[in-house]
Amino acid sequence: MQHTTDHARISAGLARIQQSFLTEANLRCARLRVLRQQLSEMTQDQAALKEIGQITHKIAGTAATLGYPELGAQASEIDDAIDQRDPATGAPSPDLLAKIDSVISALAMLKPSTQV
Amino acid sequence: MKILAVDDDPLILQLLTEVLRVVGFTNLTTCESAHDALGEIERADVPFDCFLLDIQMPGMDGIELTRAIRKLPAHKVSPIVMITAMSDRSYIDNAFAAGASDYVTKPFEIGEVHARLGQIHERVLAHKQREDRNPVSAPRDATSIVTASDFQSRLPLSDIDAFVEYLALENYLFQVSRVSLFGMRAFGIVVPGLERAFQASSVYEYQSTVSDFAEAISDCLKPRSFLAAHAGSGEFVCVLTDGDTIDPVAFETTLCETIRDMDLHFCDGRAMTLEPVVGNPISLQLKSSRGVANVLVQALADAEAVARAPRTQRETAPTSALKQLFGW
Repeated sequence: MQHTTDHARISAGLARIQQSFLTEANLRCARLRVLRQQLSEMTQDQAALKEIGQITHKIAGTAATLGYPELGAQASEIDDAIDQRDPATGAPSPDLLAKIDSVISALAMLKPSTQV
Repeated sequence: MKILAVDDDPLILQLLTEVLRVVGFTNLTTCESAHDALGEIERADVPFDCFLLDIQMPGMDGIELTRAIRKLPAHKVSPIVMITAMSDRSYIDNAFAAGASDYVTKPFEIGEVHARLGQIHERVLAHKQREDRNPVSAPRDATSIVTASDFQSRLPLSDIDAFVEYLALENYLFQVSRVSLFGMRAFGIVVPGLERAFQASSVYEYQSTVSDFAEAISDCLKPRSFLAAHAGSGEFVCVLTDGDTIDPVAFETTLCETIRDMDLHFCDGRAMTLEPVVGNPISLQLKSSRGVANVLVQALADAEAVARAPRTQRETAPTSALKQLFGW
């Protein structure tokens, strides 16, 4: 009961932070597209993969709390896969690339005006 | 409660500000790096009461920052809560070994953050009340006689390798129970007769001896991976975190020898003859979260039961495969 009350009390604040998240999502989407393109051109671009890991790590940390649990879970999978990946294994797997594409698509669908 | 939150993601800091404001925690300072955080801590006229730290940050990470905070005399026991997306066992182990008090995984539930901060607030208030009764400006005479309350106190012993506060050890077990308890075992160590031996001693003498015993436990458990805590009086709990176990009888022999080698004496010159008793390891592997919550108490109860039994009736090393696996 207390939890519900608190949640109601912070809904206005959360809505404001959601707008920041959505604005940030556009920027992150654009950056992920650039990094994904780099991976297409140079499949073993470790710096690009590392930055993708950093971006998805941040998305994974906030998305679910702000009402986007699926996006958060997808981002978390990429973050974990890159964190546990041995750079010596060479190019990222098709599965990992597909997950990155999926998060880019999900981010592209978010608009700052969206109310959740 | 004066709180410092450190995270390289401004959105998390905004979220925490909002979530904490609702339940009245408005005295919040935020930083986007460990470097900035250490600057804030150094400049603070009134010390922070609590820290909320991310782990993965550019430059110094949250685990290194925890170690740096714990080295500061004002923050030996200040609550440090890791708020992080890193949910692997290795991160949890490293965070608590570095001195974390609690661990919340992102994405966090708002209610969970409220509950954890509420518990910490109660601890901070209780600590302040104790300090008001016994202000730092007039520290208790180290030669004052030890009281029942001194015996009950759980000493943090954070200067000793792998020793953490008892509450932090409970929080650690709760957190790892959500991930994997594979290969983990807990056991208790009791020092019979310790309270009686120190009844007319000074607080300093008693606490120094507890610290010496903890040092010996830590030395004897190396190089295993473990966390340990003082449980009050002459009682300790240890958690082996990485698939190791101990033969309690052999370990007790080694521990007693180590303590004898320390050649401990009371202030009046009498030799100290106290000897610790080691309980049987309890496997955590098949424990539920609720079971894990009780395991430290069970470990101590087992050590006390072993201490009550005549030495000749004590069991030797575990023999069966089931015993090895489950600690039965």
